[in-house]
Amino acid sequence: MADDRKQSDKEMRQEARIVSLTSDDATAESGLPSEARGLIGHQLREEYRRVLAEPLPDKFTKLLEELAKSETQPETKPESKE
Amino acid sequence: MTAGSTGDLQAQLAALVPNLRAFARSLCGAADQADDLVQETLVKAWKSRASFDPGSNLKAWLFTILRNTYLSELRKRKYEVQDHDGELAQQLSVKDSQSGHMDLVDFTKAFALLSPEQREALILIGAEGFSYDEAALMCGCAVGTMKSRVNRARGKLAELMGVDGAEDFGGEHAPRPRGFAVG
Repeated sequence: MADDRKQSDKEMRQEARIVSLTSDDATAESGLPSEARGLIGHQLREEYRRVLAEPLPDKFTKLLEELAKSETQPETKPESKE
Repeated sequence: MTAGSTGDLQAQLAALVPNLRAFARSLCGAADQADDLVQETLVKAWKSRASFDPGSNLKAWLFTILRNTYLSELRKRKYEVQDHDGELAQQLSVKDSQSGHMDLVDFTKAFALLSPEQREALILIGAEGFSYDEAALMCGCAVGTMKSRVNRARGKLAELMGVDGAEDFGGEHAPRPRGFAVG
């Protein structure tokens, strides 16, 4: 089951690249049954937590160490908005 | 950020890497692309750390950098859609002519079919717990737009998963999305 999920998740991730099919589709209203909202919210958090809990590759720690070591002066230009 | 807090920031960034990865994965799908996006975000954040107000929310700041980076990449590359994906998209978007019903999909697949804006809105609000105000600020849109994205995203998920009508919850036909462990 776990393997199936991993495999299918991988496929799903690829499919996430699909540009929206539905952005203009106005089927959605907030008139969903509360059970549906509950189910969706539950699965959303479940899936998110699953990724959160994945072991962290070393590359991130290494990158942060390199950045800290580089001792470059921070740029003054804000980059949070592009 | 002063030079003296370099170590602090490094630790704070490290602590948020799992969240950045999860957010990136929600946005761009493929795990390797998501990790590239996170690395790019960390580099940008480090370089522009002088512009971060230590009194504000670091996670929100990082998420904003990540989503801006992702969206500008998206605009640049337009993320070519593979044929296989296109076929799937078509299958899912066309209602079955016999039954008048779409083939139902599980949560993960349905989520992947949302627009990037909808996925982002759902994650920020529903998974990360940002307020609508915060999320709207991060995404540079109005609060009402953020609310509408979340509603549309929920509605679309419910439709794709076949849980969009009250009758779906009657007795033995309670929804059991395929291939997704609930509990």
